[in-house]
Amino acid sequence: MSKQVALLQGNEACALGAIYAGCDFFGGYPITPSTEVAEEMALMLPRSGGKFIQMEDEIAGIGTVLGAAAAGAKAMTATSGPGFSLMMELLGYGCMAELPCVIVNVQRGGPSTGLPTKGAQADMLQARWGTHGDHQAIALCPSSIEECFTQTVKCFNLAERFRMPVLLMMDEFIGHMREKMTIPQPGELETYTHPRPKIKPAEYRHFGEGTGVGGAYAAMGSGYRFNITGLTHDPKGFPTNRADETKWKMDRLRAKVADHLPELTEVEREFMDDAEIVIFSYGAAARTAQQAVREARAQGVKAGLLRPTVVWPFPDQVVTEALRQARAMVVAELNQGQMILEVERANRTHTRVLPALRYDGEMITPAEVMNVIAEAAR
Amino acid sequence: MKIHPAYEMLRPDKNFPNVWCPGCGHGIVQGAIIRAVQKLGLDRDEMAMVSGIGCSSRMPVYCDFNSLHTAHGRAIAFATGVKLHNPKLHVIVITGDGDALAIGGNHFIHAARRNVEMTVVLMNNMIYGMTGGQYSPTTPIGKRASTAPYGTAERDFDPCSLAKAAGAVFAARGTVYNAAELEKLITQALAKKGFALVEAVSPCPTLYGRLNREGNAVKMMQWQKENTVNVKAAEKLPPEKVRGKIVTGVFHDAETPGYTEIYDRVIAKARGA
Amino acid sequence: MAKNTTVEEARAAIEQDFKQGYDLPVYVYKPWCKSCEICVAFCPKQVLEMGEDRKPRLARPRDCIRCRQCELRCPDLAIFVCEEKAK
Repeated sequence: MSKQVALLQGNEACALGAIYAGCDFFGGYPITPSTEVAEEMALMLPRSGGKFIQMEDEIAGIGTVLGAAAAGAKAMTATSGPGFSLMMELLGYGCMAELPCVIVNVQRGGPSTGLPTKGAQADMLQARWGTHGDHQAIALCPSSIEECFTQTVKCFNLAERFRMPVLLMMDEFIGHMREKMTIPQPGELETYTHPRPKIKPAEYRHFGEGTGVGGAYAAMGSGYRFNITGLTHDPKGFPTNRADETKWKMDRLRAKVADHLPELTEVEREFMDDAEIVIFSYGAAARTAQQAVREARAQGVKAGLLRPTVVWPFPDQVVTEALRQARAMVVAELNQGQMILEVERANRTHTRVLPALRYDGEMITPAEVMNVIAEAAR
Repeated sequence: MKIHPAYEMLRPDKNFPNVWCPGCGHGIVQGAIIRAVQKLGLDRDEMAMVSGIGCSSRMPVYCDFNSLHTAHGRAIAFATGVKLHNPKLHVIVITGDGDALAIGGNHFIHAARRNVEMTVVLMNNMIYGMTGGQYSPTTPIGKRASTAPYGTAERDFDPCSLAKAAGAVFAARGTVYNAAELEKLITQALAKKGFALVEAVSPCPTLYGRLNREGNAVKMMQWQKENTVNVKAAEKLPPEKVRGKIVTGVFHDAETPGYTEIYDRVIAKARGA
Repeated sequence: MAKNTTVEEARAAIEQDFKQGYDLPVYVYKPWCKSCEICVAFCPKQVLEMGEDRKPRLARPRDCIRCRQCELRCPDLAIFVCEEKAK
């Protein structure tokens, strides 16, 4: 098979990645700048027998996705800020009911209607804490068209393995940008589907032993009859008010991420070995940061780039370590300062942390980042 | 000697009695649903009972089906996803007047418009019971509720007309007093290919009854017995004879292809292209 | 409130009573009954009445026509016709 090279839009690459990952259900609602994901899925899913549906609002969009996931689908939705805000309650439902699904947020200028056709990265903390109650979050963040493809595949794998919603935090810059990429061959990228239980239905507990991370869990209609509810519940899925069962469930949910941090830590590094000024950036802003680091290096400044591709859970140890070694860290992001709060939280060594922010709808420029690098180098 | 036929459809390891108040009609609707499922000989592994939030929606956990207790107002949206992904499943949505028509109203009318194959059993007690007696979209104007101490100032919905206008293929209403008729209507709805609504008028003695001084379970059921008119009889009666009464029976029964059937044609077209 | 029971525990208790010669046309599984009195109020033959334990009992079992209205209207599935035809 010859290598297939394609010029793709980020949103298209995301949809292609979903199909590659085995997605067989999409439920969503039109919203700039993510609508192309839905349009591509509407085109491609039926070809492989998958189902696409455009619902009456984003709540219904994620609602159908969670319903399909309960029935065993690999399901996804795609939206942007306003829709992402509407999906918050059911994002929490997906965590509590332990339903795998992928939610793509092509971030745009906010808040409110904001700048529908302009990019931003200002939903990052919402991605972590937007829904109510203690809960976990897994979110990835692509910086290229190829990563829109590969990270969507990874989101599906993580959703299936961790049995929870996984977020792909894109933005309008990446979503609408076109770039060349080589389409992976079938089998080239790992795809994961959770195993189905083999034990007798009478012994099956939908939230019992062996159904957690990487475990086997059943789909509605597969010969195992069980109860799923958003109420706090016991291992059988029956509602409970008991403190011990509540703690069991809350600890089970927390352990999913807390016990698998190494696996959920993915950070790209460039020029970091001898870096004195580290630029922490992600998503679209990291493209500018990369350029700024290279230009700084050309001017003899020992700058390095630290780019998380998994942004939630936050890579605490990696950032703490980088801060320990660096003279200063510059955080470049397209908001008024969000992931910088996490960086400062991970700062054990009082290392200087300088913001390089842009929040007017335009892409931050290398020059702007260079200015802050210069300030950091003083 | 024979044991209650419905027991075989109850979840074996769930504690009973159910959570509903003494005399609440919801348990009667559950009985009617179970008997309808048994009459049609439906396989429990292919039953998907999806509910929202509220007194109505505590039913699925008690049934030995695939049960999915979702979020307030969202049962029909979840059910759309369940049905579309696995059309083999018989999807029953269990919802209440507040759950389906207030917060869930948007999903109710759109699933009816799309004619997604599901039976929606809307247990109408004309109040929000779970949260303590607030008025709902079906509370008759002037009736009292914890949030309408002077009587409501709002007219109420007729869920059957709403469903019919939105595109449902079947809309019927029954009362828990006439549980046999209710079972028949649910059986008809389950056999339909499309969005089939059965509104079950189910008294709430604890809140609606007390707040409106309409007495206990027996008195409220007695009122149902004396104030129900079948739709065919109602057509022949002058309006003032029907006003304030519960009109029961089948209001709409049509044949229109269901959503998953139509979407299969989309798949065929996509594969043919 | 009495202790909750599962339907399997209910089945075992009922079959136990049958084995010990229970021979009335209607059976009341008391642990599930919430004393709402619907069955008593709407029995067309006034077979039922509330006992001292505020649970229904068959006062006039011979009048029972096995119409199952008590069974159909019980919100807790706690009463049912257990003998199809009179002996």
